[in-house]
Amino acid sequence: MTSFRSLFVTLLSTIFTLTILFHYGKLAIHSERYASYPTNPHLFNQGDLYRAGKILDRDGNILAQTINGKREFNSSETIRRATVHTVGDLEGNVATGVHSVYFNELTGYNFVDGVYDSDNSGNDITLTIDTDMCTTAYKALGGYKGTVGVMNWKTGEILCMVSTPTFDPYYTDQADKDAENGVYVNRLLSGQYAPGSTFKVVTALSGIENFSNLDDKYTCKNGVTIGGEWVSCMGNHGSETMQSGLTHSCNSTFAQIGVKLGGNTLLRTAEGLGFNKKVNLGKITCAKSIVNLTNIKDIDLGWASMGQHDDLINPFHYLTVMSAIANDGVLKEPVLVKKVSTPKGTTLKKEGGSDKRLIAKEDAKTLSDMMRKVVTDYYSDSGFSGLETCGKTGTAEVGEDKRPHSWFVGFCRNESKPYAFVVIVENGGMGAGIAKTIASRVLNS
Amino acid sequence: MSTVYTLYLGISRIAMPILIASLLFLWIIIFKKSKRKNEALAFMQPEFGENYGEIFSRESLVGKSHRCEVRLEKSPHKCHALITLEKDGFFVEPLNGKVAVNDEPIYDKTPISVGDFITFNKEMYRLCLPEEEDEPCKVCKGTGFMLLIFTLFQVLLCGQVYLSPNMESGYIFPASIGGMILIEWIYYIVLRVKNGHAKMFIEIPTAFLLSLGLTICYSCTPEEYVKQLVCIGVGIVGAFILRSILSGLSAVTALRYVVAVIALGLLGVNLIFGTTVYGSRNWLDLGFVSFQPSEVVKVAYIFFGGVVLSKKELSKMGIFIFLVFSALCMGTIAIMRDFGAVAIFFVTMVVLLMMRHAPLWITGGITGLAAVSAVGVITFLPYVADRFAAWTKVWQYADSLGYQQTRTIIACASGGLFGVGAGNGYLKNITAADTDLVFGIVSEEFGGIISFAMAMCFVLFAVYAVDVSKRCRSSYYAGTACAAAGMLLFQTALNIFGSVDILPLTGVTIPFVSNGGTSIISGLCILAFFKAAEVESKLPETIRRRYY
Repeated sequence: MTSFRSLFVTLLSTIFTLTILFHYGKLAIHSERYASYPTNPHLFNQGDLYRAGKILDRDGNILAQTINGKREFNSSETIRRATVHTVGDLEGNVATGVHSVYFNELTGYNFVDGVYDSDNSGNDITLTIDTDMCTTAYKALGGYKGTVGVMNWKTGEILCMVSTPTFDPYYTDQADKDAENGVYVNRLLSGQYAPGSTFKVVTALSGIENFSNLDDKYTCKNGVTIGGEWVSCMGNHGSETMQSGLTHSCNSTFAQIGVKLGGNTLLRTAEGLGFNKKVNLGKITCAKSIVNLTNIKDIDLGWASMGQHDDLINPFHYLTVMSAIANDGVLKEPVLVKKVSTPKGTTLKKEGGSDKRLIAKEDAKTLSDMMRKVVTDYYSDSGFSGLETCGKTGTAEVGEDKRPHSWFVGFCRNESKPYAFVVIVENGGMGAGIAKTIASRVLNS
Repeated sequence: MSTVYTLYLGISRIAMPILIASLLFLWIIIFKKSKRKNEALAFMQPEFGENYGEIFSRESLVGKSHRCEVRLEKSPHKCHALITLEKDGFFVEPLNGKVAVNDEPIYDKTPISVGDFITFNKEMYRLCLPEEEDEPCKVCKGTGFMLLIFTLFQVLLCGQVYLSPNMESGYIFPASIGGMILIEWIYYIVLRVKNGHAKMFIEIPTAFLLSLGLTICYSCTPEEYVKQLVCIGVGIVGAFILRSILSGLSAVTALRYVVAVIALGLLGVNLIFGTTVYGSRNWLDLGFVSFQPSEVVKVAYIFFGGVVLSKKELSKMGIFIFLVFSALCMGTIAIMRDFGAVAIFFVTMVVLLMMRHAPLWITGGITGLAAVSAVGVITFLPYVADRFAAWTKVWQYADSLGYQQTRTIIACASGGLFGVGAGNGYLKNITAADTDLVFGIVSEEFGGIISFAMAMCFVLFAVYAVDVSKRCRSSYYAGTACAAAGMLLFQTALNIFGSVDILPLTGVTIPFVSNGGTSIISGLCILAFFKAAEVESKLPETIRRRYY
């Protein structure tokens, strides 16, 4: 009875304790977000990040640094625009930017020690990107919206990451007007696009993995009937093998291959490559690539097999797929942050280094040869001389009255230029056109 | 920053949280060990049956209600009579039913002695004393060690403030902390000499809170530092005076209406002549000094509520008087627009009602009524609605309505677990930060561990009050100690959770830590209710000596 009387006080104490623990829990989870708020006077001076280390590219070019309490970006506007989606702005508009995601490393902030730092300087971050390649890609994209990503398939290093439309981090108020066009979105990491014919690479891989004979013939008469419905093709290819179907980007062939494989088999291959799974680049969380192949009608499976239906691809994820094909089926863990070091030069942290096999070695080789043939037989090596380029273009329809998105994905087999690449040009027209030109300019830079 | 300071800060910012964490840990261990079973003061042995009534406290009810210490089976009255233990021994007083002592009917408070037969209606009982227990009473050990750890903390704190380049490096701060250390040790020694052991479960956490408060005051508003010191002094003296008044329950009973009239008078004067600060008209300017009457009334409220809701009064009009008094207090404060204070009074009222066995339907009904009126206030008063507008979405209003809360949360994150050092924070530069946002200042400058410890001090007060309320010899002390704990805890909750956007921001203070003279004085006085409730361990012995 006595305990009942004081129950209310006990209850108050319990609620109080739980609530205060809730506060600290919330703080621990979101500490970085709170501390990085631009009004935090410990780190910012009127919105200007004054206590943070440098951000450097692979050659030591400074992309952002703090001088006399002012955060300064590279002096060239072109470089600023070409790298802003990687480096990030100071207001956290680019959610995947290094300024946002690597805020702790950059400022030396952490939840345990708070902003306490005896020498008040933060840490330097060296990135793997090549500023020259980024500016070339940015210029090559011209006025188009789109993205270019290049990755070294031998080391996993991201060399080029450009997204347009872009902005100058010094003038975010102007960029704000453009926010609904996705100016703050890093299309390479956060974009999700209909892949168009580039998805045929996945279907082809599934075929290589599952068919005993790759020389089976598929008919194309400006299309093919599947499950009573018509799948149209751009050409009247007559009879095709898987190789020639890939070379000519024949819809009929891949619709039939997809149906022959069945949804579950194709899904197994796709998920083996990382579809429907989380995609990360170091600490950065990227968008997923999505295929939906279970319990669907044959006609939908047919369309999905060549990248239409409701397939969605994250460009960065596809870059890792290309890298794996190039590297005999093994994906080197992608790296953007080469190292975090103190101003005195002590390395605090390195990222990357792990390997993951996505494809069996022979299958990767076969697919690689097929993609090589696509380039040599269909597009010719002009523009890619000496690079031994393997690739696949794509044209993704995005609506009746709009020009389709133009894709070019692939890799160079030349050991001295071990580059995997993804180029997407929104509303760029047919794949063989603009995307290939951009890829050629970037890879030759 | 000089190298000496950098080095000192680097070490002390880690050492201080460790000291405080171990201090709280010790508190819990010593507190658990010092608990002892309560000895009954007397028994009521029935003529028939084995339905013993154990008398533990200075006031015990006799009746058929389940909350009576001596339960009667045949009486028609819930509260039949009252047995009290006063300086002159045991007394019995009929409340609603017939009482006879040694077959003589009585109508007023009558002294009874051991061996007397007391008849309630037709049930006869005999007053007996329990057998003497051989077990010696457990001595509370470890307080000296606790105090030593705390002194170390204070010394480190002193150094941090003295060396900080962001604070004035005068001698007043070291001198005042030094004085505090001296007083603590003298107090400890006096207790040791007087009682053979020293219990400082309330004193040490309070001194910790006061040290934090002084540091914040020194870095935010150094010009008010001396005033703050004076108020602490006044508060301590006030607490001792109140403690000695509380030690005699007859004095408490005699003073109850005086206190109530003073309280209501103060509020009335405040209502008419009050000045408005930050939207609440709760300040009274006397020319030479200005203060918050509602803070003073807090002490009076517990004092009065405890007596009026005594066992004796409860059976009559006690609840009614108390409710009217509560309504008057809360009503006046609500007119002054100090809604945080209204909420604090309300919680205290509920604690008192519960502690004093008010029927549940009354407590429930009042709570329901309060909920309805709260919704009404929020809906119809634009000033209050404004405060609610930003609630839970402060980041959307980060530079307007949510300014204080977002800055507090940023400060909490910036401080991490160990803080950036006394005086090195930025939150203190915000208006009213030294009262409303002290939790943020402590989190930023001393870190999450110390700010957590600061909050937990109020939980420790509550733990202490609940425990003492189960064992103390008078339900007056039990009720007022729990009411005091509930009041301090709820006030702290409103402040802390308001500043970090878990509750709406109300602008109440954290007792002892927030800058504010009246708040500190009333806070210290409220502590007297805890000390008064401390178990009188020698009471059974005294009674035995009287009757044998």
